[in-house]
Amino acid sequence: MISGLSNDREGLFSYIWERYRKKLYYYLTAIMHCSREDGEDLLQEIMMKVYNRMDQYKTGHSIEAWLYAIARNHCIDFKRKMSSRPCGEEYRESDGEAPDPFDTVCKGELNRAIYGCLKGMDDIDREMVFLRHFEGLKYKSIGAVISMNVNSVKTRMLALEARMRRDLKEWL
Amino acid sequence: MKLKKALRGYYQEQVDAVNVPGGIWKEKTKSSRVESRVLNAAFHAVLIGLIVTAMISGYYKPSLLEERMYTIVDRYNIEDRLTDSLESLIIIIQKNRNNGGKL
Repeated sequence: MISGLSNDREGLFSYIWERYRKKLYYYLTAIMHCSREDGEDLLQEIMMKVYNRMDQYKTGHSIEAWLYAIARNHCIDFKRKMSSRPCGEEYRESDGEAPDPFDTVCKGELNRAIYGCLKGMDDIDREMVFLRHFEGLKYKSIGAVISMNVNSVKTRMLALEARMRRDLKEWL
Repeated sequence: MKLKKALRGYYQEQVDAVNVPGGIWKEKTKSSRVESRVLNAAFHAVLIGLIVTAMISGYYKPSLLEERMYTIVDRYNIEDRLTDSLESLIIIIQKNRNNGGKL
């Protein structure tokens, strides 16, 4: 999909916008702890950067790693300029179709347990878990995004997974 | 349930609940910014043109005294109508008198 759009600047940007805007917004607000208002402004600025730097994206490389590296660096610059206003809240409401009540209860409890588990982690650990388990980034890409040695990422991620398995063992 | 699946489900639910307002901010794209810059420059050029025109027309609008002076210049057939100051006009009148003129 990406390779087909590599020469179509507008098409690639539309693809990124459609596919990644929610994820980036969630990343900015929930993972990087920006307020929702700042998140909206930052998302727009990041999308501007993405559009202007589209030529720098190398086809075949992970677009997620490229996007999150831009988003992360922009967010860090923003936080340097302004004092951050941590909101620390995650999106709890759901706007999907009504699911099965039993599933909802189980899923709700599991998600609450995951939320509690993630809340007890460092920011960088939460970020790593998001990039690894939601975006499916490889260790090398995660290392590139958060500027960390790949071996350190591996070690830290294994420790985090062990911790999460321990904390969530009654659900898994 | 595996950890990976559970985390993916959790994040998916979180991200699904995200509501990003608006569509693509087209006015912020590079081409639109160029258009915007051109429009901005055109608007300012027109505005500056209007201000300059208004200033010039107001500045050069002849006063009642100037109009009377022009009438005198015409009446006494003074050729140099480019006179733009009273001083020059006086010199011209003095020359006219020296040459036997009636002014």
